[in-house]
Amino acid sequence: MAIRPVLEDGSPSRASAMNFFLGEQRRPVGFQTGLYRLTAGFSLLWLSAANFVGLWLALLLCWPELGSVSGPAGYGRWMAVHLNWQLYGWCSLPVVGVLLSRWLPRRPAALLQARWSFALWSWALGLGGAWWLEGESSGKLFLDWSGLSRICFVAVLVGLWGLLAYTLIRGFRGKKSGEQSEGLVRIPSMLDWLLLAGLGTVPLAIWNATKPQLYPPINPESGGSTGTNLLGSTLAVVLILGLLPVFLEIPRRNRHRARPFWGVFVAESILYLLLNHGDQSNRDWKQIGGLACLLIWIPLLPLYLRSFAWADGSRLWGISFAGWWAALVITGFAFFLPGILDAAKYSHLLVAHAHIAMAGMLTSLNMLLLLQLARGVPGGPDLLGEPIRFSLWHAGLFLHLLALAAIGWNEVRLPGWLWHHATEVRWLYFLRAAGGVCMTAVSLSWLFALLRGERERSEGHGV
Amino acid sequence: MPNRDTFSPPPVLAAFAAIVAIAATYVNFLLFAQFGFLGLVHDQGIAGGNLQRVLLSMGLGGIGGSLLAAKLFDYSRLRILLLVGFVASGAAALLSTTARNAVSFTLLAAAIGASVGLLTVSLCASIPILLDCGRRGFQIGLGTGIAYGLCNVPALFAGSPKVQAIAGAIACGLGAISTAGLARAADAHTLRSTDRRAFGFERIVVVFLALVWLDSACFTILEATPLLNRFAWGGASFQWRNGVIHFVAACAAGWSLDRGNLREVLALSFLLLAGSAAMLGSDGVGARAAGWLYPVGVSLYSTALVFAPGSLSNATCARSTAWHAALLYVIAGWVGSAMGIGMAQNLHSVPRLFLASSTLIAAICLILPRSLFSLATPQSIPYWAGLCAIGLLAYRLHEKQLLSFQSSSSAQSPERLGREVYIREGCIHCHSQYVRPGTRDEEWWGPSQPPREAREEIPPLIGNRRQGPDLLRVGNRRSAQWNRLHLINPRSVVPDSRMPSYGHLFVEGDPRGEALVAYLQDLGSMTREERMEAVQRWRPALESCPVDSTTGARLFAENCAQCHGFSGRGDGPLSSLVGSPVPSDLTRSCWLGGTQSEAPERLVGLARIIKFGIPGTTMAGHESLEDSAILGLAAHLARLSTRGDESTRAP
Repeated sequence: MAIRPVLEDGSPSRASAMNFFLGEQRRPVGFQTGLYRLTAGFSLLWLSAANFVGLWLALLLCWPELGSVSGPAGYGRWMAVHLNWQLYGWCSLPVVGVLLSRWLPRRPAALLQARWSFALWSWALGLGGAWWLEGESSGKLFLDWSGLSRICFVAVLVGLWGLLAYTLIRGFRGKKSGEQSEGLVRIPSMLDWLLLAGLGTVPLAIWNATKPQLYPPINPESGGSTGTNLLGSTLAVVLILGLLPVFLEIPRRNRHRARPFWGVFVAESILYLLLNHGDQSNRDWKQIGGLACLLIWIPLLPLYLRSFAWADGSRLWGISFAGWWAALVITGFAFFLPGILDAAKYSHLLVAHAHIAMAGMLTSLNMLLLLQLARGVPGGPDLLGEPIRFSLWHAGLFLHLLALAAIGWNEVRLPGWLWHHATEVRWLYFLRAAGGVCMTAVSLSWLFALLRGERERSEGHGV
Repeated sequence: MPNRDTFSPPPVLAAFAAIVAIAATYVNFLLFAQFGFLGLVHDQGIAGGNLQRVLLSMGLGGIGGSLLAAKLFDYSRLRILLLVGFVASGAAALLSTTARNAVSFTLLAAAIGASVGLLTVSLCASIPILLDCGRRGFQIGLGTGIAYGLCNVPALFAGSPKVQAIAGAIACGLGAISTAGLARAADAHTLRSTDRRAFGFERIVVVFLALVWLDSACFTILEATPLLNRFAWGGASFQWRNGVIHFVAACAAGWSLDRGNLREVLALSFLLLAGSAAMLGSDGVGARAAGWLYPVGVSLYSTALVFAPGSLSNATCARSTAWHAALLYVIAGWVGSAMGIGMAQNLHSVPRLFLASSTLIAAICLILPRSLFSLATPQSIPYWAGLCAIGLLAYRLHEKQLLSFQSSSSAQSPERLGREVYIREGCIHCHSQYVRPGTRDEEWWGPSQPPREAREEIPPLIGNRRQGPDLLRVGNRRSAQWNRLHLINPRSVVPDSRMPSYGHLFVEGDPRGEALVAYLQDLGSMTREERMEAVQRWRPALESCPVDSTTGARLFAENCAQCHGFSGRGDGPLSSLVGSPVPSDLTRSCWLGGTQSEAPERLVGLARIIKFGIPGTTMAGHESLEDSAILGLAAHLARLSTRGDESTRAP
């Protein structure tokens, strides 16, 4: 007698061979649970993989001879893998999960589309990794997509956008035709259409940005970004952060904070448009002033985010987000100032700044997003909001930043210090690697705990 | 929870007897079967094929004895089995002192193997009733630690084979006596089950196999290599040290095993043994470190080896536990040690490939099955298939790229190809190509470049960090030969360089290495005159004082000795590779000659050479050194030249 799997709500599932081969659970789960598991699983997988590569890089700095183990794939090639896997893996997939959670029909069968989305994205990342290790790169930091990997990644982005557009149009048709919705398909609002249009530019932007011919404006004093550029990119981040809770439909606790938030955002966006967009020096007071405007976001953004009722277990990550955000904006502004930038540019201080952004601020944000997706999922908030792993992650990150800051400080104090004090540098690199070990172990422990929970549930031992 | 009604805790005497039995078994095995017996064989001049037959005989005997023990084992018979094992082992040890030819040694080897097999399997299968559940690990650790400690007592360790055989026999005698005090099973068919989750038996056998394999290989290499032998067991102090390390590590392992950390103990043991194996090829620090790590790793897994059969299988039947123990000892113990010894004898090292693959396998066995179980299901096939496809594509790309390089190299200028190589190797992640105007960058690296010009390069390679120096004008600062040598073997040129080696780009038929050198030479070629003028204008800062003579000598050793030699005679390790002109004999140069008034200016000239090098030669500059260091180096060179023979000094 054939046994048909039954969903959590008691209805029989529409099992198909494709579902099976795409990893359908032996005990099918609800949409929210399944999407959370997929998002968290793939995100943490890429976090762990990127951290592993980062750890490998840290070890290569301690023992350069180890490089012979990976043959022609030397430090430079691995760097591309580390940077891009962090950015397009760990930092992007939680947002993909958020998009899917809003627009996909909330029925278990839709998990098939989510699985395909994550699987294809992951294959593109894997392909990119193989390409970068083979030396195929555009030569642009964080935009190394080149050749076939570039085509595949942009194709995945287009495909994902197409899927989102399709589901949105289906919802719209349902509304137009007056069909009775199953209560699971979203009827699109204006915000949805605007967001869909905005997301449609992403594949094009990636395609163009990875072209070697395009290069952003240069600050002639440092060779780095201009104040205008930094203002623009930070405002883009603020926009995404401002929209995320709305997009996730997190209930508001305080409506009054939205007005100043969006008011300042519009004002600064106008300022951005008014500023000169060419190669501008950081000695130009307009550039400094434009960037100084960002300091207001140190309190404003956390206050705005706090006006939403985030899921249970978000408190720790919320606090850490606010802290890292403040550190990021302050260091970002300070490192742009004349005198400070002259000393800090090309030093490890800016590497520390990048780690504040990725391992500090963005990790905290991603955890908040995953916790939001885990609402109502048994065990989900317990795993991600667990204080011991949280503390260990931050301990590793602090250790890492301490080592980077110590090296950077010495580089500022004594240019050339990095090349003439090998013993001290090596000890600090050991410290950095220790921090890397800690962060890698924690990311693996998140992943393994998630998978273990998955297995226990599938075996019927779970909650 | 343990069922405390079925068994009462063994009395202290019974636990003591069990510890003695464990220690006696290990002493007999380590001191006699592993060492003394082979010494006796060697003393009789038995080698080659005969020796192999003796070893094979011992292995087969061990396998037979282990399987026989499993077949016969029952809790009602455990005392008699242990007694027979101890008596047979002791008798074999004593008899072996009288053997004189290969045949008798072969027979004795079989007897020793069989008795050791019988003893170890019977003992390990009995552990669940001999020792209390909560303290079992520590008590096993104590017995193991005592045995290792005793075996490392210099009088025994360095004693003659006969002494070791007698010591083994005495240990067996004590073991035989201890069987009288062992706990009795009230119910011979039931075991206390632990509340801990069972750990896959097959996986643990694989991990132990890898551990014993590594241990045997390391041990054989350590024994056979004089330098390593010296650092491992070279004297009484080393042997005492090893004894203490073994004892402490075994007790710690046992304590940890009691807390359910079998996987962790095995993982740590593996890491230590693999680390030791990796360091065996090195000398000095590596060999010393291996001497410390190896005994810890061995003690950890030796304790776990006794502990594992009775605790990991969740077996509640005596036979089942005995069979588990037998399989573990046959596969991991006897086969593993044979493989390890064979590998060491044939290859004289532990190959890196073996280390990497065994690490991967151990990791899979210890970590993945519990946590990544869901990734090893049929449902995961599409994911893995996708990854395989990516791997295949990458492989194809590799071939294609190699071909494209070979075919296009003639059509493309070397500089363009070199730039492509620069991008492909990710040099941008460590080297900037941007000289910041009005900063020290200009003094160190050369004239700056307006952003407009930087953007003309496609793509601009400005970079955002400097793990190494800026390369925008490197062609003005380093010769092609210097770059070539540095790319092939960075640390031969700059001892503390963190740059990876790019020697693979320079293999015959591959144009990439030379193209990269050509590209680097091209960087800055348009600003050569401007650079020369700036160099000529340079003078050390007025407030700079030369560093002291000791620091000057150290700087010379770090920065100059590769070419000029430590004594400055131009005979450094690279002197024959740098091409023409060869490095100067600095002791023959009279840097401060001429009139008194000219001396300061000549010192500045010398400092300028040190800082910026000599264009057109392999003499590279040391741009990033502080002026005080440059002046200190100049002073050191001046001192070197005064040591030379006055008559041979060149002006």
